[in-house]
Amino acid sequence: MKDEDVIKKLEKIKLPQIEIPSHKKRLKMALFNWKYGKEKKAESIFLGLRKVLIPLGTVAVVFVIILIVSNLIAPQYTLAEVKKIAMKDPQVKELIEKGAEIKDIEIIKNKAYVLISPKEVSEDSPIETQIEKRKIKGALVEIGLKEKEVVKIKEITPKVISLTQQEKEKIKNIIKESEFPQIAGETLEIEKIEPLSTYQLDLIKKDDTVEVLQKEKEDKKVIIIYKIEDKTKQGKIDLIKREIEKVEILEKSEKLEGSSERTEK
Amino acid sequence: MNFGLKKEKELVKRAQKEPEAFSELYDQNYSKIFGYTLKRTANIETAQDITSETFLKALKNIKKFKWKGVSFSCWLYRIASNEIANYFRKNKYRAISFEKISEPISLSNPSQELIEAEEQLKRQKDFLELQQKITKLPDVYQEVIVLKFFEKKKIKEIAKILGKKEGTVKSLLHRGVKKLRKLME
Repeated sequence: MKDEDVIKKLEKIKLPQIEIPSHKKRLKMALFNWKYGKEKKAESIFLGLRKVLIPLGTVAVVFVIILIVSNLIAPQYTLAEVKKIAMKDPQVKELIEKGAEIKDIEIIKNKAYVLISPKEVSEDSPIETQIEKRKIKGALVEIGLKEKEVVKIKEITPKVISLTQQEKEKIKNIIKESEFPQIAGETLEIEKIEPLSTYQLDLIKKDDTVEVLQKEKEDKKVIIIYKIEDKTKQGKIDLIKREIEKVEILEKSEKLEGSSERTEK
Repeated sequence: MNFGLKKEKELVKRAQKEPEAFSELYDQNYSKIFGYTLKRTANIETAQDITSETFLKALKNIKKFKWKGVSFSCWLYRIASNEIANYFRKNKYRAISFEKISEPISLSNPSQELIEAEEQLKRQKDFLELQQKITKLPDVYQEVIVLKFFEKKKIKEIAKILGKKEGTVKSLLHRGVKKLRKLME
């Protein structure tokens, strides 16, 4: 092997293109918190020293200046403090209690923006819980840092995918394929199709304000209730992978009477 | 000075006074620094720790940063390089944890992301094999090889990042490639 071969290999090697957005976001918030925390601490040390060393008259002047600065110019806030102010608001509290969470915070000048987003629901949780999750709303909360209170709340209803006729046909075919050979000679009746939320909310800083983006996730899943033979079934379908992920029998036929437990496939 | 550098200089000036501007610098440089530390260590968690430490050090010292022909991103690379050297020297790295610098705020599924990233890295067998060989070289050669071939930096930039003369960088590269060839044979 020659040096040139090593250089060629180094130049042509496929490099990892890995991104970890959650680390990027957590680190950003941590750095921001650290910075504000330090400044606040420095400010309090400064105040303490002045109280001891400077005569009373000067202290009064410093106090007035600080009062003006903290009220007229931006007060220094940590994300934790912003979170605390947001959590005091009854509407925010209600959203959190219903299953939303604080996903992101941006502080811009005298305002803080808090993004509240529906909590991610585990794929293993019951289908009912996953359907319920769709009803949870998010919100963009604007906090006035001078007022130390929530000044505006804009509720956000996460988008739900709409299905095309083609996709509805695709769903039928997926069920038929999964039910085969039982489907032969039987009619398949689709009672309900409930698309699951496939969007996630992101807070984007734009100059002196923020914007909430509803980003589409890569998967596309629907909950479906259908009748086949004499059973009503409820299932979850992955339209991208073309497969049924979970099936539960909701009602059993008279033939199967006596057993009321749900069966999973 | 090109437009990008001019803008970066203005941002640094602002960041020395207001943290919001630092977040803009952070957004512009996070991926570069994370990518570099990952290529040097081939370990997601270590790369995350070193990246965290790099930005924390940059934030702590931003007021001391002066434009002396070294751009802000070169300065970040320099901090990251020093942190990586510490990592290899000590063989165990104890970076500052998030908990020490902030109150954690729940975000969506970070552990799932980490698992997926590790799986993605495991699939790049050719890279991992070559990277393993590079890590057997003394640190000084690792730096120049990764900066030149993986980060696609020019000799001039590498010299600025490492605070060495261009001629020194060239000879380090030359010797580094030779040593790597021997390891590959």
